[in-house]
Amino acid sequence: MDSRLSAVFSLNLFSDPTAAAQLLSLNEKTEPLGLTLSPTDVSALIQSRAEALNANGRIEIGSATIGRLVEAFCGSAYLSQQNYSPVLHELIELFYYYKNETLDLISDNELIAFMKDAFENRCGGSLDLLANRELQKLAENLRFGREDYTNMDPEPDELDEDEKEDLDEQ
Amino acid sequence: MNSNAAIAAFLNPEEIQDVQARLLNMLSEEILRYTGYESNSVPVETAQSLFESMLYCMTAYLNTLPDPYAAMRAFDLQQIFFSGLELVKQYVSECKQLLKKVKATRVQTELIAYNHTIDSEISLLLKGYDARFQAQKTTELSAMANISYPLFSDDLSVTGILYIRNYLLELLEENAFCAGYGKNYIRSLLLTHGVRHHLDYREMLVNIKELILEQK
Repeated sequence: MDSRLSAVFSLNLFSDPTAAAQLLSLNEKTEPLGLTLSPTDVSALIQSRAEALNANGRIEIGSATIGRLVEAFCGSAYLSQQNYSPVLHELIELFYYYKNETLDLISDNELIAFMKDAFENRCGGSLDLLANRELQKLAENLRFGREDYTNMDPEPDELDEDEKEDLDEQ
Repeated sequence: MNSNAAIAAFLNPEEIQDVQARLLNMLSEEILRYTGYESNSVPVETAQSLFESMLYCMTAYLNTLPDPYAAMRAFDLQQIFFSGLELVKQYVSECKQLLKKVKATRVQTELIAYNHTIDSEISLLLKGYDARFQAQKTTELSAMANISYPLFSDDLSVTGILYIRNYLLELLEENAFCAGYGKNYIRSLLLTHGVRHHLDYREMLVNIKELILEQK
């Protein structure tokens, strides 16, 4: 069997062909909040997802992530019809980028919940702060094996004996 | 069975497409299972590795059948995979028993590589072996585990548990061969070899059977 995945399968074969219809159906839930996605918006988001997966070297089963981001963020005080689609594009990119940066140590739902909480309560709706402060800190906490990885202000790590010696010598 | 060309020659294009589609579905399920259903995406390298693990199990099973190509046509691929997975797990159990036999028949020597391989390296490999998701991997799973002692005849065409199994079977045979020679004779061979190469014989990476045969 040819085990070179890229030679055998296309990444698109894992996608859900009903993704567009499912995203459009979410308009029922978001319309009362003043947010809707047009068929063109949905196609662009699906394309964005494919590009983000490719750029970050990931394969996804199904296409549920966009829908989960829509459901998590549609209630945000910082979203309006004007910035709805652009913010979703950015969130999709951030999601897959930080799945890699967090070494897949955090589940999809937990990452999305963290992103929403940070965006809403600590970043004042700023995607820059979300990307470059909150998510970066989360990734660092996870990579360093800190138990309380959602704590954005962790205690300094305890130094081991060698590190203490180096510090004393300085 | 290890040749894409052979498989492609046996199956017609429609059958190949059907096999690929079914493998794709199986891989999707393996990816979700691997993430504990907590993530829908993985790095491409992870998906690649999971795919190779799946194929490893399937090939291991198919190679026990008299006509593997016919079996691919006749049996459900999922069933072939589960049979392969079961077989791989059986091999792991078998290797644990083989290791006990190797220890029981070991050559009495101060050769560090030989003793280290028997006393800890193989155990670490078996402990860290992941039959489901990384069946094709041998030493990559443990930073500590590497097989130091070189065999007289090592089959490097296989990996994973098949390699470990072959290694232990070969080592058992070598132990039986070396049992025909005294402990002091073997020690003197190693010592001479060490002196010739300006090495402490205990630290050498040499095969005992090979040294004995060279002397004959």
